[in-house]
Amino acid sequence: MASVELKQVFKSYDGKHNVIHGIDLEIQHGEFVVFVGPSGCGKSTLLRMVAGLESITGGEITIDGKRVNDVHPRHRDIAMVFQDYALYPHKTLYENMAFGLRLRKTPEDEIRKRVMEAAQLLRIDHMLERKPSALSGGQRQRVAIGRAIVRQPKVFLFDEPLSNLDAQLRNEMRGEIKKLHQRLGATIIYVTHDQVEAMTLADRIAVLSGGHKMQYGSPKAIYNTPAALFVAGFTGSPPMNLCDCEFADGQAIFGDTSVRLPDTLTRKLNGRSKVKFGIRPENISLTPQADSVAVTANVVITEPLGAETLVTFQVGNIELVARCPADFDTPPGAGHEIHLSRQHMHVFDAETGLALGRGDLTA
Amino acid sequence: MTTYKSTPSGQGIFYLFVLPFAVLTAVFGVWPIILSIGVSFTASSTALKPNPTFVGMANYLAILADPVFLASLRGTLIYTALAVISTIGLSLVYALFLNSALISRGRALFKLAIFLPVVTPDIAGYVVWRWLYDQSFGALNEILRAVGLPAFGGLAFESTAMISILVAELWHHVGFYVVIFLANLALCDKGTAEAAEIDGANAWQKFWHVTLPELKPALMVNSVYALIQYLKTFTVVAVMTKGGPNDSTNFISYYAYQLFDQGRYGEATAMATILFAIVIILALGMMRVQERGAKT
Amino acid sequence: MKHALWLKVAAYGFAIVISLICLYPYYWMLVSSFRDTQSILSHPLKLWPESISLDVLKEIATVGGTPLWVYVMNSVFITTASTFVGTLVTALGAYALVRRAESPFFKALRMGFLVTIMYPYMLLVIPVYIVMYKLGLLGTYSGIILFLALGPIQFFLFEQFFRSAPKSVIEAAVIDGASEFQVLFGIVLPLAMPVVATSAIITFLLNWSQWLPVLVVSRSPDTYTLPVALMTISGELGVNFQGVMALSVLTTIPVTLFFLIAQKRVIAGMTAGAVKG
Repeated sequence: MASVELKQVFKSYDGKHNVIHGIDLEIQHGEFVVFVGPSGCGKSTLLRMVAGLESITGGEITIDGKRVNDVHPRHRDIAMVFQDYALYPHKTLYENMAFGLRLRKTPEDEIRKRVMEAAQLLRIDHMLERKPSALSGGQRQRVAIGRAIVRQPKVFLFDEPLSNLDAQLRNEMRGEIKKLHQRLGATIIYVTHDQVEAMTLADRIAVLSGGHKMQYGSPKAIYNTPAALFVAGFTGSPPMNLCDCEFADGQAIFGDTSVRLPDTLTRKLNGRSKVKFGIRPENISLTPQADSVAVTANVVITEPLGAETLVTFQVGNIELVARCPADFDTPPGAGHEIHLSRQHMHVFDAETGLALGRGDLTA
Repeated sequence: MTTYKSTPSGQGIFYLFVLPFAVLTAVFGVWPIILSIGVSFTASSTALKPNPTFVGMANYLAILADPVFLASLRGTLIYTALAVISTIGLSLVYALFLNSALISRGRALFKLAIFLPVVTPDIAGYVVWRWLYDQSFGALNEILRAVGLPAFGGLAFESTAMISILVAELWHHVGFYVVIFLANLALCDKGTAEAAEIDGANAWQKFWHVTLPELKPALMVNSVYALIQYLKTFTVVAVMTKGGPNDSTNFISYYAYQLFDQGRYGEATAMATILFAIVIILALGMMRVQERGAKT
Repeated sequence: MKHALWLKVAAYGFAIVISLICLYPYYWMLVSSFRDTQSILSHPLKLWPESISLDVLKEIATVGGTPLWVYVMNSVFITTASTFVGTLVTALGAYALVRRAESPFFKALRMGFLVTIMYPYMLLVIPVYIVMYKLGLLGTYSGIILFLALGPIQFFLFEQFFRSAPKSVIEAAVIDGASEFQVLFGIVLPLAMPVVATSAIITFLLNWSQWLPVLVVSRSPDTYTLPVALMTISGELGVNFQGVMALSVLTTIPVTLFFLIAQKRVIAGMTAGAVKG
């Protein structure tokens, strides 16, 4: 277990253009941190810099307070799990897991003990003499995780470990990785493009975009108070409804419909007249709620999901998606009154995309 | 790939790995080529001595004034053009034929038969061909006589010598080009051809608009490779004709080698340098043309 | 697609004729090696030897004043040694060139190698003769073996393999604590064994046939291989057809058998990289 710290980390491949722009992050002992963002956002590059597989152009990375910029990967005491498993194809599962320990001249019985423990934990102890080619994708990824566990490293690095698995297996493995973390209490940095994975696994999430850190915080904080449009649009499924709106006299105007914003928000707009307005689908309901505002809407499409139905409403000149009860049966084209929770309204600066505030927050 | 900046343990060892390769490439590749170019500017009689006499362009001027060399250069280019076109043409047609639905079984055997000459020691193959072509006891003329056709001049006449060695070379080389085309054909997307068929393309249109563009990688590799190979034609001449009759197959490689054998190092290396320049210019030109073709 | 029967018959007929044309020279060589010269000259087309005549072995027991077995041993030794050296050197070299592809020195080295294979090989032996002379390697086995070691097909085969090998496996080994030395010998080379085998077989086949480099570096028939003997001595045997054919058979059959055993691997290896790269 260890802490990891990134201080003003930069990365450039050609010496001219940065792909990572001065990122600061601290990761505490035993914390599970997820780097999330779309492909090309720099999350894998950042992870590989922690691993030592990419050089650090500027700034500093420390593990347990010790600067590791110039430390070879094999001396950083880290273990990594790769998206394509990266098992040694010519070695048995046992030898795959034992390789790192053998290189460190660990005594044979200690190796045996650790490999068996990890194998039992991952339920692969009955196939240790097989070669990776005889395994399914999920089993291979278990071996890759086992190979990391036996090393008992200071930090575990996971690079999109579930992306090559099918959806069902992915959910299953996700649960196992979470259990594993609770059991080992290890420091984990985990990279994924899947926000659900990030939300379910992380103690804290770092949302990255274009090599910039957009927000760093608990899943709750990321979800409830996204610091930027990008974060709001990236989290949640379906994501937050976001739309352009004119603002005048405390009212957000959507064509022929207007909605009165809470005073706390109005104050934060500082006289702006164009903003981005946001509200999550679960904060739109069919019945009046405490401090909600009613608007008339037309049903555009309904998407029944079984437990609930997603309904797209036309409100003025915008469309809003709402989570509705499964028995919602108003046909498309028909009108319906909907209620927007004023506490859960977000506004963002139209130019910078930064959050200006949420309805219930005065700070 | 991976970079570990300022971790010397990661960098240095690759120089060790590459060292033997670098030494062999330098000693038996780069150094001799530089040496050869150097020798081409010195007097033959002093070329191997510690202080060779520098003669400037004299060797080049001498060979450019040599009618045998000029004829040899012309012959080399004509032969190369004939050989490249016939090699690519024949191997393409035969690969398409073997790949077609007409041949459903035994494809592997036919492929083996055409490829076997490729791995046959070229000398042994050409020795056999020389006898097959022989005017008095050759099997070829025996066959022609048996079916009542006029005798073939073979290696004995200027008019037929070049075509004779071309046939022997095709026998030796075509299999290699056929398997490259076949490998490329195996990668082709069947769906595209089927889509073209559904769109109403006839066999010719399908070949021209679908198959041929997909064969671009093999066409490119094969034509550059054939060009380099035939410009350097040597063994077949050394075994079968010794450059004759009357210098009709005395291609540059062979002519230069003869001069080298006579100790005329300066002229021999000047010829080698000229041929080298021709190979590089033509090969690069060909790649350039094909790259441009690939973009449009 | 359904084709008319006659079309299929014609297609097979055509393929069989082409195949026979390819194979006929072998067959003729083999049959002729068993027939005495007089019969070959009078009936060159015979499909089967009148009688098996092995007298030829006595006639070619000594060729050019050197016992035949010397050529055979030279062929086996020079080809095997150059295959071993070539495969090892090319594997290591190609691996380093791929792993450090961005280094200017390695780029230049690769360029140098590519230029070398563009150089008319037969004319390269001229300056190599001079280099061998300067290094004192003329007439030595080492000189011949080292000169034969490198070849373009083997290099491209390895380069293609290392380029397509999953780099995450190497990275996993590095993170597991392996030094570059351990990565190479513990992970990469075991993975590359099929390519090593393919490359070795191809190198063997190609080097067995080489003759000019051997001839140029040699100072006497003591270091000649079978193809060189065939080249220089077929004149000496004059119109001894049977002798020449027997020597040709001896030169050809070992590699032909070797090729037939490993044919899939050889063909796949020679085409690898040509169209996938």
